[in-house]
Amino acid sequence: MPRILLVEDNEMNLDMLSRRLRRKGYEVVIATDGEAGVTMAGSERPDLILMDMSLPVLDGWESTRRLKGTPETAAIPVMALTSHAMAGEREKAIGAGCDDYDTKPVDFERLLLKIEALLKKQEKA
Amino acid sequence: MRNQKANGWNRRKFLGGLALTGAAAMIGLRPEIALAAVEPPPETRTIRLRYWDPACWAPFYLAEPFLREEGFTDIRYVAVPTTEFPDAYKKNLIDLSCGFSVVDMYHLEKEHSPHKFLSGFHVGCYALIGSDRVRSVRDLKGKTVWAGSLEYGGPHLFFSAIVAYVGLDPRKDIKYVWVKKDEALDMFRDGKIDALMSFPPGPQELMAKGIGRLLIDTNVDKPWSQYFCCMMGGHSDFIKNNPIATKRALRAILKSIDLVSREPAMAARELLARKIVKQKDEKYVIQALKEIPYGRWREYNPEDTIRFYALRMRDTGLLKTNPQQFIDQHTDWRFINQLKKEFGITAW
Amino acid sequence: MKVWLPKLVARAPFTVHTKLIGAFFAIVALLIIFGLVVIQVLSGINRRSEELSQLRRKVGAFRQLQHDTTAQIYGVTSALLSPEERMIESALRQLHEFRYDLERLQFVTRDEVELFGRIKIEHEQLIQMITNVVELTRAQEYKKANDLRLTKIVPLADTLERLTNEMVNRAEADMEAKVDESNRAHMTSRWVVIGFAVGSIGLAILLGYAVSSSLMGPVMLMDERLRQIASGDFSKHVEVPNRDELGTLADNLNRMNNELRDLYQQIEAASRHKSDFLSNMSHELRTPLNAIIGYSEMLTEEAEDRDQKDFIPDLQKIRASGRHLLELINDILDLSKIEAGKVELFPETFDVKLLIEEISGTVQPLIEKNSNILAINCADNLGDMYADITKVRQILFNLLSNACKFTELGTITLDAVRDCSEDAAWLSVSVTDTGIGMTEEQMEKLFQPFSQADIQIARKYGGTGLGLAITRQFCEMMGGDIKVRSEFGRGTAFTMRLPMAAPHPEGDIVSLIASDGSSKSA
Repeated sequence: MPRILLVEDNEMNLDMLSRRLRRKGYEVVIATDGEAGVTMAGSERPDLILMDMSLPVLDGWESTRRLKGTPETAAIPVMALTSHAMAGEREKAIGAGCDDYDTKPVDFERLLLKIEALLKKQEKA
Repeated sequence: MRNQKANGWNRRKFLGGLALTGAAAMIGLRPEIALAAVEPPPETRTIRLRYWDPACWAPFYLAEPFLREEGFTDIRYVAVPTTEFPDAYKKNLIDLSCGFSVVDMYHLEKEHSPHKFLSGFHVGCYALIGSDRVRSVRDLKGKTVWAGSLEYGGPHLFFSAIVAYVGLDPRKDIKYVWVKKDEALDMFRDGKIDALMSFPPGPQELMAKGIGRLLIDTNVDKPWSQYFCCMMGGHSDFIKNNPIATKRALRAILKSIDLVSREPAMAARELLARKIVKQKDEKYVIQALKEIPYGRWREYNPEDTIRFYALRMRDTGLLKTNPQQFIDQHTDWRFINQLKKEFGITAW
Repeated sequence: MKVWLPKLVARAPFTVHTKLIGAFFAIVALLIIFGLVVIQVLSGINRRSEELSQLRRKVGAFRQLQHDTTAQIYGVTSALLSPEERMIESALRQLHEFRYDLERLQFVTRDEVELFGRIKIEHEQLIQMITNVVELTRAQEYKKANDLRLTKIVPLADTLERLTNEMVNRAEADMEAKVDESNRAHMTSRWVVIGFAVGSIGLAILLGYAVSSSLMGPVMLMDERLRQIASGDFSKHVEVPNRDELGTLADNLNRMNNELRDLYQQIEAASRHKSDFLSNMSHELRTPLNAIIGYSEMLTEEAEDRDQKDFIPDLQKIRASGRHLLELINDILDLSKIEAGKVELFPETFDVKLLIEEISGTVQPLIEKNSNILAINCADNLGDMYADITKVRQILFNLLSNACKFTELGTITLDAVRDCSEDAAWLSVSVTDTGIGMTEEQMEKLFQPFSQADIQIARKYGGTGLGLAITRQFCEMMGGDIKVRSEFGRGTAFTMRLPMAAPHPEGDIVSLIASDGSSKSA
């Protein structure tokens, strides 16, 4: 089963998303701040990273930029989870190197479709 | 300006001068020697006088010995035709001049020539003769007239004043022919022109031959005989810078007038000798000099002449300035007023 | 004209009333001065013409004298030539008579006293000589009498005649001088009058200009300032130099400006606070909502898995309510962002047809909910569009979901065409339904926030009532518009138009052909 790295600091979101993704059969590893996320991406080698943008220690954009700047992790697709409220957040995410994005609060069905689409694309590549 | 004639004259001035001085001494014309002696010498020894062809200006041409007596050593006669008269003053070629009152007045205003009237000179000399078709000046209306060979010359301006005096318009009522004098005389003889205005010789010759009738003899006909036909003037700068020389020169010329007045025949011969007049005209020149009342300078107020002609010329539009203004601007009677006392004149 | 003069008038510490009266009196004074000058000039002309006519009389008198002299002399000389006692007596009598005429002339000879004196002397001498000649004649000494006549009387007569002529000349010359003087004076007078007229007019105009400018200038400045204030510019003060009522007015205007500016700033701050508050609050509200929706969905799944279906309807009610609340919050947030000017556009190039297909997929559950049918008619030439895809998507979604909401067992039609007009290409999309429609009254309030057609409708159909307001705002932000046609009970049609190429953020219009045309959206 594909392995998803979920980088998220909000406990409730973390609990909910990880449980629902696991229920759908994904293997989920968790990081609660940007730096940990970057480290785990190197060590755990996930197939996809779900990255919250407002993170402690290292924010989502910077973390993505580091991941994409490291040859070992550059190929891993990153899906940004942005807050609906912030204008221009999406553009900033794409600009930082994210492969796709979705807004919070998460529409789970839609998120699953996007995740599958990214994974398919990755397989082809 | 100084042509051959003038030079020729200079070469012979010694002889002529001697002759005249002798004559002057003979007729006792030197009453003022004592007076002249206390007077300072002239500021300049050089004096340049105008001359031209009118025979009536004889006293001016013959003043040389008297000028020497007054202390002038370099006496030059400069030929100045009527047309060049204002230029001669403007270019400072002459110091003193005699000229027809009307012509000089006209030029003074028109050309702004820098000279002032100093004294009267003589009366008369002009004669207007008409054909058998003309009895008086008024009859000249619409007739053809010769009044000099050029417009605004002496004869023309005098003629204008004369016709204006009887109420004619000299510009509209008269037809002029502008030809040379000899030609005009021939035309008059042939009846091609009706009147002829000229100074001597000319009219005298015609009259002597019984051609034409005398319409006006300015020597005797009033009011023309009451005003100077010719007056003396001087360069404004010369008068200003050389008052003593001006007075002395004027005195010399007045003496010369008196001499000619007493010895017209001798003066005429002198003019012939100096070739100022032609030999053939001798008779008429003597006649003219005799007829011209040269003594009038002792009687007539020169200012009145200027006033009279200024009035006449203003009538005809030849002068813009009013008479008094003209007198104020263009005359200087100081010298003649001083001299008239010397000459024992109280009148005017 | 000089600028300083109106300023000077403006600075003068008098009321407008005083200034106007002052200007009026100044002009009146100019007129009076002008009138006085004219009177002065006229009296001068009158005086000169009187002097001239006096001189004419003098000339006439002198001419008469001249004429009489000539006549007398002629009479006497001819009488003497024919020595007849009666003639001689007569000539002598006339000669003496003439003496009285001379005396009479004295009144006009102020300027020629000397000359006149000489004439009188000459005349006395003439009378004396003539008397002598007459005596000689009576004594029958004709030779002596004739000699005396020729040598003395003739020259004396000549002189006398000449002197009288001179008198005439002088008088005439005086007259000519007077004529000249009169002409000159006339010219001078004319220029004086013209000068005064021009000067007075000039001064009056200058004065009028200065006064009116000092009044009108500030009025115009204040008018301009009021215009600016009306359009919301409180940054400037109106500066007028006036120390009159207008100065006070300008001060009050400036005070009003300041008051309005402070008020405006307060309102602006309040508005900003409101927007900030809304924005923050919705964000804060969403985090727990997130959890509510997420966990209710999880619980539903959990219940299905454990076959405890009793809970499912209740869980779905929680989820639906959460969703509705989220929609409300999102809409409020959108609107507040729009009002606060915080919405930015991020244009990109995308395929219109693909977008419409994606949205039709998204709204399919809503269509089916009320048993409606969705018909989509896309023109073949729609091609690519350069715009903020998120906003376009939201617009189209709002229009379709709105149509679904008010239609049951009906058809919802989406027509998309490329419309080339007004020198630009437009995307025109109509969403037509066969739903309940609207009345005129309802249509009027349609695009206003929180204004669903009426309360019953709000209860029955739900929704926030903000969707259409947001839709219209987005359309206008992107340079387009939206229109509605509706018939009560028959259906409604919304038509929105957007430019195919939005202004590029850098200001360029990006060529649609040149761009890669790939859509980055899912």
